[in-house]
Amino acid sequence: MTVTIYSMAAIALFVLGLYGLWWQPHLLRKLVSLNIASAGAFLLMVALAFRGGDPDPVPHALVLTGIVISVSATAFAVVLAARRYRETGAVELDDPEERP
Amino acid sequence: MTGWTLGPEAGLVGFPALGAVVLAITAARGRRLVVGLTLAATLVALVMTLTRLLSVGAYEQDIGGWGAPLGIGWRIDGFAVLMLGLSVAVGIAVSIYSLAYFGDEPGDRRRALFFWPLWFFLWSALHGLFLSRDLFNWYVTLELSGLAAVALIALSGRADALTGSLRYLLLALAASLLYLLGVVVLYSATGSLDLAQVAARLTPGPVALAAILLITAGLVVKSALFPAHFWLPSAHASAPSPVSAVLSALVVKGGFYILARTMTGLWPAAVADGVLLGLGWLGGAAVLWGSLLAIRQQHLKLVIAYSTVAQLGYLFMAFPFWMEGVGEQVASRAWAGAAYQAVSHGLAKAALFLAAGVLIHARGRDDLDALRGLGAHLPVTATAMALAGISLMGIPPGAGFLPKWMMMTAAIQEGRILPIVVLITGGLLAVGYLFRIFRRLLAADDVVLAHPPPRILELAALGLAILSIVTGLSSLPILSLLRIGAPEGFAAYLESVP
Amino acid sequence: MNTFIQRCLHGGVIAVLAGLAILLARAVLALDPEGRGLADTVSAAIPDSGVLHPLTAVLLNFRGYDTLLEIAVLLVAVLAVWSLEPPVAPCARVLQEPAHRNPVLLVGLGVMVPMIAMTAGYFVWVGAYRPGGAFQGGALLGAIGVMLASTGVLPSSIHRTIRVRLAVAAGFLVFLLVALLTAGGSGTLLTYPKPWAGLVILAIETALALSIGVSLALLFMAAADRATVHREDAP
Repeated sequence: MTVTIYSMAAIALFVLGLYGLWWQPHLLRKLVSLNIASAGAFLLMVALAFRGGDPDPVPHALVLTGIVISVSATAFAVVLAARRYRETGAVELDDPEERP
Repeated sequence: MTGWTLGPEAGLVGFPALGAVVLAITAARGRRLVVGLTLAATLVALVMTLTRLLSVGAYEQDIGGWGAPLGIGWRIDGFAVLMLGLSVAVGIAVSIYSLAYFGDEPGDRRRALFFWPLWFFLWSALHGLFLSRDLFNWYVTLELSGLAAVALIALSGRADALTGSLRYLLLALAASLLYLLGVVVLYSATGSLDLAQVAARLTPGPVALAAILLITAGLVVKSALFPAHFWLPSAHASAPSPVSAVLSALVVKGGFYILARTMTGLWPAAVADGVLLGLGWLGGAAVLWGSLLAIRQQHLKLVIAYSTVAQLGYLFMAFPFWMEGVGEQVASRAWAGAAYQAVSHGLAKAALFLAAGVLIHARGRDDLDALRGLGAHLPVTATAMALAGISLMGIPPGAGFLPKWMMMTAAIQEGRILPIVVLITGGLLAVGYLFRIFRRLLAADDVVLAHPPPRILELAALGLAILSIVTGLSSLPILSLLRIGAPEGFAAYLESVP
Repeated sequence: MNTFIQRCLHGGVIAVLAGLAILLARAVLALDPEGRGLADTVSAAIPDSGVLHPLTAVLLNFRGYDTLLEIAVLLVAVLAVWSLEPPVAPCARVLQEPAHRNPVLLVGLGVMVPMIAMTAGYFVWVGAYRPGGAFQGGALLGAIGVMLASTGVLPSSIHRTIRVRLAVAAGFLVFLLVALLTAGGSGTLLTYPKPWAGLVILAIETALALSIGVSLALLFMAAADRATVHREDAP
């Protein structure tokens, strides 16, 4: 039962994150949404690892790998977005009022 | 555990990674030496891997000696080595080109400082991807290659490159998450991440359905299949030219490679058939849509980038022939055709982008009209473009002819009209967009070159273009290479090749 | 008309995402509720792994190759961030006044930094027996970097000297060299020689923790610095 509750919450987080990634125009909000979606994916992995009583260590190791990748990609994306803001003044991907 | 010691294929991942980390530490000092050693060592590793494959047949390596499901495994067969060969060939040409491409201006020096480690990490990750048979390891190699690719695009520093790379990064990350969730569901159901073990334990049902949809959707975005292609043209066209070559020739093939591996060896037929058919339809649409948009572009690299969208479509047109109920002869012909097309497109497209880099360098502009009359000044580059173009248009003896012909005969045997129409129309449209380039190159206008390009740039492009013709002429060795360890149910046609 | 199309698109995306959620939920509910995955296989192989904690065994031994590539991802992220930046990165400073003019902060840092460093070292060491390891230790080291940068203790700019580059790359380099050497010695990549497996893992973990810590701190500085620029020239 516990596993089911956590799994359903994880799926909800994942879908909400994807929705935010598509719907939010501001790049920082897109990045936050993406991280919510990853949190959902990682939560699902940890929840499913708990099914048989004592937890299965393999998904835990996979989550740790996923977190490091997610941190690296997020840091790069933040700096990339900031650099683009400096060059163009745009904070959205399809910004109509980009500074020349 | 295998009885073999010291797999040479480890060098294909290890040597570029070692070169990358050394260049990251030493920066510009001794760069030519490190690059040269890395290229030589990687080439030797490829030759040794090929030699071993030819002597023992397809083989597997368990990293750390643990074996699946505990450890990670590699599978070295004809398909893997063919893709590795493509990657090494394109990689060596691009590396030689890049040594001259990044010049002595301060901006170029800074770019070169980061180009080399990022590119060698990308190269290493792609080799890891082609060797792997572990679903989670594929996720890691996809992320490593994707992140390095985005950084390489942004290297040009242009505003459109920053936008293009950022869009690519966000989409690629979302796509990886879809793929990852598919893998998680599969692991939870089967207790393994090894392709063969998961396949053996997977039964049709909600788990298989969710997994195939998630994994396929993620990889479709990564390999830029229509309608998820929209990130590709701006990203590939705005990158520095050697980077464009790598992206179009190799990086998008990574997604296709995993898709082909999973489609031929993972899913129960009951869930796979609908997906295979859908991918075929999307592939056909990509051929037509990409070609039409390529004809409308006004910039050289955008024409070539949209041509990538179109040429990738051919790869997916082979998928419906892998459905249940199609004869093994036809399925096998379509499978080999897709693998062959991946290689021939990779070589021709890399040559085309490298040649485009020479032309843009020479004129300092990248609109199509800047090309007028350049053919007389840069005959070597014009020849490289013509040879690569022959391959892309699917004219014999270019390497693009045979794969399309193999798919055509598969479609004829199955009595499918639509693929035949798309194949012929796609070829004609390719003639259309490529002649917009050739016509201007061969115009009799008198132009003055802004910067005469270094000779080595032209030669690297020509080398790849010649290789793409050679690949077209040596179909028998390639098909017999693909026969080694061909997936079950895809060998019949290859067995009949002498 | 335009808004109508937008509304349809919006509805379509919501429908697709709802479909995705249902698809996933059905798959999760169809899983064996008692599935144990590889828990037993891992426990059985622990005695051969050189460590006692299953998570460390999976990360550094059974699936060590994944971890090697993952450190490469972190290294690529640092290189990627650097490629967008001028060669000298000003340190992000949150406080107006540098710490050495603030006695309370100075004493606080003097107590906390050594304690965090010690905890980080303990985490790396204890990873062999219980929860801990290079990532936890590295994250703590990264936190020290963040503290020193934001209180202005670190110099006002960090040059990418060879020492900084070495510190960032050390984890990957050590891990990769071990991988290549084991390939030469034992025949298969990343097969550690039995009696020394624990020691080799500890050596890798120490180098990894150092690199992870330095990388995380540098990533923070790059991102935080840009955030300052963002504030200053925003209209």
